[in-house]
Amino acid sequence: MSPEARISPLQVEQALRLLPEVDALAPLRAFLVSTSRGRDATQPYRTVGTRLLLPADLTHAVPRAIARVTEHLRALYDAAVEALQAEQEDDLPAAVASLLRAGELEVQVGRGTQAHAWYDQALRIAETLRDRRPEIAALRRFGDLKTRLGRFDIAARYYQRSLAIAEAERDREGSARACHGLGEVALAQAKWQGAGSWYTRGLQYEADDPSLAAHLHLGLGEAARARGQFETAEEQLGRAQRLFAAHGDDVGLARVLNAVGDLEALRERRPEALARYQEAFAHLRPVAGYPQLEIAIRLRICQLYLDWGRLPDAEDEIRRAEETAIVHNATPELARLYLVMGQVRGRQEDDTGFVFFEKAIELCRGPEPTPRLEAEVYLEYGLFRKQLGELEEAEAYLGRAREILEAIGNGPLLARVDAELATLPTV
Amino acid sequence: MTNAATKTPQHPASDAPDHAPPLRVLAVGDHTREFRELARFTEAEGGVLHTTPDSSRALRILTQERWTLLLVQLDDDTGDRLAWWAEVLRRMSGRPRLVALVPTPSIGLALRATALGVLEVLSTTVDRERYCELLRRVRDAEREATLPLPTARAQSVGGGRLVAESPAMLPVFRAIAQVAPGTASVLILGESGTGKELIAQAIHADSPRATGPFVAVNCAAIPENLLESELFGHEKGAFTGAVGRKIGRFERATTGTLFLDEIGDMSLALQGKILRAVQEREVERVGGSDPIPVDVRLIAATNGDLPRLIADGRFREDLYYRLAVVTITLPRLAERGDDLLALTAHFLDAFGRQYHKSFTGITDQAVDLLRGHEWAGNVRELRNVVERSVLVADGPVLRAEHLPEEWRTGGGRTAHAEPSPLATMRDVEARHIARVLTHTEGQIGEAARILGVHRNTLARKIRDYGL
Repeated sequence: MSPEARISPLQVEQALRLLPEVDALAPLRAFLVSTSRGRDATQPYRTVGTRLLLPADLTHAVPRAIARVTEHLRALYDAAVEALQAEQEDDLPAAVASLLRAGELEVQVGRGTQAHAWYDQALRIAETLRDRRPEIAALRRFGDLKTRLGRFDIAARYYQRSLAIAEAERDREGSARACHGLGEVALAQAKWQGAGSWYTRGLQYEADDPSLAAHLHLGLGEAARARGQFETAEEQLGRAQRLFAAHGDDVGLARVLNAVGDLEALRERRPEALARYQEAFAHLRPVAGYPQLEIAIRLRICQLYLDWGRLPDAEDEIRRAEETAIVHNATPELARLYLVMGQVRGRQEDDTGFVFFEKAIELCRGPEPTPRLEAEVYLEYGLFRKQLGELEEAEAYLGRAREILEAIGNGPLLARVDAELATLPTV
Repeated sequence: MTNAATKTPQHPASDAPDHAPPLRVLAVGDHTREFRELARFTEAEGGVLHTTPDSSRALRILTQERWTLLLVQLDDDTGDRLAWWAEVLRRMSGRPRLVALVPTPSIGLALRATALGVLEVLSTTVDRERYCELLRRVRDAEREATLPLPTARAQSVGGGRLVAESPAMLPVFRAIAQVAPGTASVLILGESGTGKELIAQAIHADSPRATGPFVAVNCAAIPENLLESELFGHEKGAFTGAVGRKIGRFERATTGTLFLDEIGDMSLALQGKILRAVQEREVERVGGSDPIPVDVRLIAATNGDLPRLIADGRFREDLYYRLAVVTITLPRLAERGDDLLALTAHFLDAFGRQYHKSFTGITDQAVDLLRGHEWAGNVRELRNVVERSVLVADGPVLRAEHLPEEWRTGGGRTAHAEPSPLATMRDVEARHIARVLTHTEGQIGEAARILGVHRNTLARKIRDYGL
């Protein structure tokens, strides 16, 4: 055997341990993960950390990574230069728009902290302007970012400020968008009635944007479904679907079909639910750049299979979602997938399933921390331990979830953690 | 041709082959003229073709009814779309075979299609002969003879959990019987998926420690940084993430058996700690200061070549000798002959109960596919395959269509294309009789005439084979 043939590939976690966590290497670390290869598919406990890579392969791939980084930097620099030119021309609303665009570019590559800095700068300028539309937009972007990071209370405050100014300025579209944001926050916090009220209020502004109206109907449909009002949900989702279809909005259609799939699943019409999810994929397939939505749909399919008792199919689906998340460096989504994997193993009373919770926690604490999700992982980890009869550990993990939620402020989840802690027998 | 929304009854052509399930073809696309022509060809072969203009409607129809073949009309540059269809069909029970219709089929697309398990890529301007030949091929594949499932008998050793009758497993059973009553450490060798943990459980179940716990650790599954605390436990605050005190697996296995699977994947540092724990019969939790006595019987397993790892300096020789007091080597599934079918029957029964289904038979083609597979993943792979088959099966018989798509299209790891040479005479004869009976629709007299045996002889054989 030649010496080369005996060189075994590195594991991802081994490689990441070796590289220092410096900013300059962050894109390479991400690239290293996204280009790694899965191990033997029969290994039930494999995670992103155990994927394999050959440094020699990376040598060939580095120019591609650099090209991607350069492209991103160029777009950021262009936005920055445009902002400077706008300032020189005394067109500060345009400067704010450029800064916000740069922030959006950072969001697209999962750099929330950097996006925050761009938005902060944009908001500071916007607050000095007589025209308040840039400020409305900047506050909304902050709301979107905080929603994405699971900081719902802060997100709601930003949207509220955006709404107050938009209403004062009689900006119908700005008001409707802020209401949509508030509806999304309420939906994420399981405040169904509140969510429905915000979406309805958004529709009352009759903004001249059918896509926005479609999103508001979609939200109304989801809120109604969550409250068990299936007919209303069906009607609202139907409206959303027609509006999205009229404008050829494939991503919108994918979202609404995903929601219809959820509705069918709740009605225990599983084959129909599966068909709707597949239709959602059919619309998403030709549109690149929505890995989060693809993962979300796959997670729903996984949930459907779990409820169906089809565990192998559920695992297949989650592994496909894992591949998408890894290829697109969708770290929070990957953490959520491992959270679900841990839950699945818990149902099977498989104690080695703890490796998925541990990996999820590690991912939540990465360069872009997601404390709300981390708390959720600790909550489920605690329940996993409780299921296995390990009460001392269960209490410790639930306690850790509590600490995080107290720090970031999340009432509904905190209440759930407290309820779980209360059910634990004294250790 | 019928629109899927307005189906018409099927009228098999007079010259259509008999004894085959009707062919139901769903065509997706808007090539009405071509589809009309295909509908004529399909009817001539005794089938029926329905059309639907788009994928959304097709998905609804596919979930509502059973189809033999799905024809999807695509553009030339359409690999992604094809992959999507292949993925959609994979999730469906009684899934139809996929055929792509493209304006000008390329070799690249054909290769991609094969890898995806697509049956055929045809030109939109369909050649009648080629299309009809394809239909006949699909129909032939559907014409399968049913065989009874063998009885899966569990062996008396190891608490009656081991299903095996093959001579290759005899030395394993002997070894279990010899080592179980003692206290010696055992090293189990075998490829991944051969059932090493099951053997460890069997030893534990037949040992004096059977009333104690059996604790298993898959060393390869647990990341290196977590494995030490998993094995030895930790005190609260011992490291970041140690949010509470944790009892390690050594402690949990006290008075019972600790099974360390995939031990060859462990770091040298951890190997040293295990050796110390085994020699001194005590462990120390990470971040703790007091030694904790442990009383465990150690069983280790690996699919690696430990002597080679020792030679490479990656495994401690002293630990190896400590573990390998007794060594048991498990055969690969491919070496276990008819255990393949016995295990298939066992898993069909187990998963059938789990998913509320009942199986009484298996078709000859399914047997051929099972025997023809390489089984690199051994019994674990078989278990996974059977579980998935149970999920998609829609009757009491396991058919070829319930097995992985790629096996039928040549994409899987097959050991050989022909039925396995390991089949017994009895197996071959039973299968041939079943095939002839399927052909004669169960008429014994006609079957006896074709087989050239007396009717009574055939009747006896049918009884013997449980056909």
